Amino acid sequence: MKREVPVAISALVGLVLLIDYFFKIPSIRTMATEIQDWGLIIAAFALALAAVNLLRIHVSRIGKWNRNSIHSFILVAAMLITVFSGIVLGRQSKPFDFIFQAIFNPLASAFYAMTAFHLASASYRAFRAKNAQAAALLIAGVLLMLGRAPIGEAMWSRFPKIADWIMGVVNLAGSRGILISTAVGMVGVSLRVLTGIDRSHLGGGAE
Amino acid sequence: MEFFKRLGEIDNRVIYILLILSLLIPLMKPLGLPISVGAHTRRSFSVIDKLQAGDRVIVDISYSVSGAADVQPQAVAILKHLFDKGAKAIFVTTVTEGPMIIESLVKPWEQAGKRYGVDFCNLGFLAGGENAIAMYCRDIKKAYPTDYRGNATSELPVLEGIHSAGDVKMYIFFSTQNSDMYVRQVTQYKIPIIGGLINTIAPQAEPYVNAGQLAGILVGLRGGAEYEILMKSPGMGVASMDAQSMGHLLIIMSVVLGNLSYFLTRSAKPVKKGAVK
Repeated sequence: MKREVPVAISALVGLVLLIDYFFKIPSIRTMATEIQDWGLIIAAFALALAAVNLLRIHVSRIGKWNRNSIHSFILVAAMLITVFSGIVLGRQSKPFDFIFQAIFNPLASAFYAMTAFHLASASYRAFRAKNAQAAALLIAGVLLMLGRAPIGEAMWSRFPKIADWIMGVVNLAGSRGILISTAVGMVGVSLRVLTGIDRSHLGGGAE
Repeated sequence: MEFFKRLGEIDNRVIYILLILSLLIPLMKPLGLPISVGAHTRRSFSVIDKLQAGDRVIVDISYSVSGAADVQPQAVAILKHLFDKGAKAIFVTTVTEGPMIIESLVKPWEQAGKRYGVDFCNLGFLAGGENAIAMYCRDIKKAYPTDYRGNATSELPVLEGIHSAGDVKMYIFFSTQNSDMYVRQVTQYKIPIIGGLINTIAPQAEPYVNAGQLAGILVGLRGGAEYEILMKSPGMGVASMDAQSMGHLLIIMSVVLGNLSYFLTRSAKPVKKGAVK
């Protein structure tokens, strides 16, 4: 029963949503809407559960104080201040706006921007044309960068056309192939889940 | 040969300083390089330009702050186009920071006289990713009983008569994620879909544009800059393009010099016995 009930629920939910997508039957539509509404509630609970779990782990790390616990302390303090300013003071309040605009926004942007430095270093040390495939990748990359940046166009007006050709012909053919094969694979996996052959989503691996 | 050997061993900090300079100098002193407008941007512009005053559009702002440098100029330019045409925007998001990004996007428009609830609304964050998109497209008021500012959605004039995505004129999304889920969940409502995407994700969306499932896409920062040019209103996108150009140039030079050093010094390096070539 421990396995059969979840498999039956998965199959029922999947079938209702599939029938609704293709046939638009009013009674099925009502059921499908309810199921999707439950999905939203479960997702929201999962998010809340993740927040509580994060708090639990880091509070326990602060309890066993060592030289790394300061990071946990900063995380817990930042989390509580943000939650307090958002829930108690309100999402339109100045402190909440300040936290987002003056702290979170620049920090997240700076964190992402650091990848540019890794990219610059990697382009110098790792992008080597060691074989034909690597050479093709490098040449395509360089042509795309020149075609997409105004400086390339200023150097030679045909660079954007070459970049468009790479994107519209070479990339499109590859992307389409990957897309179609992924879709076929997804249909297969979905059928296995719906029929209960694949039970890996229940946590016990495929059976 | 010694020169190329040294070139291959150049310190990372030199590359970092060169990158900072190549990005900073054009930002402080723009080069004014000409920017041509690509087919994708032109197509997206013409689709949005067909909107009439009063038409309502769902705008999904699902990019994270980290991806904002690439996507935000697109969102700012398209929002200007929508509001200039008198269209009404229904903002939704499936990323946690989305509601705050929406608030910062609409702030100047609200100060300029656009009325909350009448010309636009911010419905806020909905957890669940693709399921969230499916749900708000299916029944927007059931998915969002209240908006981000705490108003009941049943009382917002901008949502009057809107039940599903099929009741709006267009669906526009800005995302740092793949466009697959938008195509899967929104195309069934038979409305034009425009996607604002980051550079690295856009190539995967090309087949959908080619198949007509996406009416148009904007690609990265350049897409935003091109849209600003079409709007005859240069902004952050155009201003950042020179810096991006110089950044690209530095990367290309790094690739060329790195390879030059590798090939010219490769024969001089002793090959260890049993090493895989």
